[in-house]
Amino acid sequence: MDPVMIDAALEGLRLVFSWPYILYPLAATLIAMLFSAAPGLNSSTLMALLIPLTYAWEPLPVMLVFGALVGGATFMGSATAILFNIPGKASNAVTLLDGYPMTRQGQAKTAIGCAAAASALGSTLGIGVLIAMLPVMRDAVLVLGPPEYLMLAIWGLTTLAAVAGDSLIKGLIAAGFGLQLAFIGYDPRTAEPRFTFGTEYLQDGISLVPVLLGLFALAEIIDLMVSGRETLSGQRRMQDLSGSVLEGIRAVFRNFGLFIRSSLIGIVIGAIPGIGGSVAGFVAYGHASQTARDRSRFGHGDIRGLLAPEAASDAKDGGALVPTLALGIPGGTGTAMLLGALTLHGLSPGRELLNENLTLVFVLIWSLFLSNWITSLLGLSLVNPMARLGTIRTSRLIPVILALAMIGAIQYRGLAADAVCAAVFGLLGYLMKRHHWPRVPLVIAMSLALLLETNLHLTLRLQELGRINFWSRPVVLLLLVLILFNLFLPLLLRKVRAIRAMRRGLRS
Amino acid sequence: MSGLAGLWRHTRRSGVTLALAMVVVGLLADSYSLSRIAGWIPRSVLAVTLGLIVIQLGLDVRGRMRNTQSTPPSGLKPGTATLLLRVGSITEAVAILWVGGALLALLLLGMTAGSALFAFAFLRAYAGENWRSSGVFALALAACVHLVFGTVLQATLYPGWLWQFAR
Repeated sequence: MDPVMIDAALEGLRLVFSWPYILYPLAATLIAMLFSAAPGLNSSTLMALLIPLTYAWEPLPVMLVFGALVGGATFMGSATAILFNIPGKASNAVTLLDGYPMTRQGQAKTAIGCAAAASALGSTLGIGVLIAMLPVMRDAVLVLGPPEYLMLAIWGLTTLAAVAGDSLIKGLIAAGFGLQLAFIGYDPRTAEPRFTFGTEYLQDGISLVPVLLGLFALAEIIDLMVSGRETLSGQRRMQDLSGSVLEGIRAVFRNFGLFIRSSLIGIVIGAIPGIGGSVAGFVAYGHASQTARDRSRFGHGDIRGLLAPEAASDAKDGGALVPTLALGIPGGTGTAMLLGALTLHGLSPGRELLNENLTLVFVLIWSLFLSNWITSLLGLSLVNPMARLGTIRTSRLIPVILALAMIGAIQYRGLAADAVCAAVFGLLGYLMKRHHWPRVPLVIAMSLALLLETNLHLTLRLQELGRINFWSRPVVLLLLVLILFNLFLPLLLRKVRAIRAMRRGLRS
Repeated sequence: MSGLAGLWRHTRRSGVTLALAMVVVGLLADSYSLSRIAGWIPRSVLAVTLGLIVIQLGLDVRGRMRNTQSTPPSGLKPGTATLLLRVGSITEAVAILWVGGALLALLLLGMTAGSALFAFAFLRAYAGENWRSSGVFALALAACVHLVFGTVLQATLYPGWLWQFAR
């Protein structure tokens, strides 16, 4: 490693832990945790609010605060997904697939322990890779163009096979419907309104947050009322809850290979501008379920289904800083806000930032690292009060969750109509749950639609003009192999298992 | 009567598929008003989705035909299954109405007063709690909403249609 880089890294570390600078990441992490625990609000909103407030600040505290905000919000969104089936944002939608069933089985402590450990370790791995990649990242990111983005979107969609459960057709229909929902609004190329039926509300498109809150949180409320469950976990006393934090942490080490693979998926996807954390979580979940020997528990409280997306979602933060710092291209909304804050303080990403302000870059990285660990450690220390929520009477929880979900839906864009949208999706979500329709494919498709459509148009146009040769691009071919692997591996494994079982039957 | 109950049960099973089919057909019809550039991707997706819906409906019908001869679970008298279905439907309708009520309260009265009113009505009428505990809980919820969202997070709380109208 370059000695200049080592010096900058050590200086950055010293600055982060020096008094009074340590207060900045600590305070920012706590605020981010509180903010992200409220549905519909996330660190991006908080960053948007803080940018004007930090205008007069020196660059160092700005780096400390924004580094902490990037990392401090992920875990709390997962905690609400695990405990109440309320995903704070799209990337948490995959956490609830196995996290919430664990709470319902009285294993909230194990689930939170596992999420916290996977989150802290995943982010550490992500940051390690970011540091190692700093010297070469410019060239690596420039290799990607519209064809690669298109293939990445398709790769994300192939995870449908993993989350669709028993009925692939139902999963595909839900995905088709999700894509269609995302097409509502202005066309990205011609700015022509599509499927708006003359309403002003639909012109901006349907936001993902009310859809998520409706499909999962409100649908769950209806289901809770219909099922007549007395408490979320089915237990009235803390002593009756099974599972422990240690068991959750141990699960990460027991599935260490899966943890590493999921983190790497998160880092790679995070490093690609414009993809975002939700795809990382979905792909990691798909990978976990497709490579598992026994898939039957996935979606019913399998800890691997919780570990994989948590590791990927947090590892992606390190990866997302790669294009932001090297090229000035934000990886997602959070990094876009960070970029805004950097530019406001006269720090231009790219060669200048990486050469002349390397210490500040490391301050940002260490602050991100610190905030991820603080969030996880605080999360672990709050396991008992959080798990206790599972023993509270549902009649007391329902008005709180319902009010929070509705408020979250309205608060996201400041539109009261979003609460109506959430209620409509709540009803749809309940019907889907009741009739065994998978809901996650709808969310995956909705979050990938824009990426898919824009890059499909661009790729076709570039191919038509002879500017690219789609089939001669190595990354495209690599992604194609991964897509085929995602699609056909489960079928192949099923066949192999059937043949083995048949042979065993013949022998006996 | 049992024939009607059977028809209701089958319709409920394919309800989501049928609802999605209607939405997709409507959107497909609307997509023909779009230009070629803006419309070809949504049209393709809709066509594929509609094809899949037809397959799913076919699977539903096949499943139904297989189950036609099936008998109610052991221990249940012939009319009991219908009765259980009816009770289930009423519970579902009540739950959906409560969600609708929460929506209405928040839209009309705003976040703070709306959540308090809903919590009070829910605890009193649905959970059967007494006036005092329902009131205390509702006030605590309103205070939390105001404190967390309004004061700490500095978010603009939706004031509610009635307050806006009154102003």
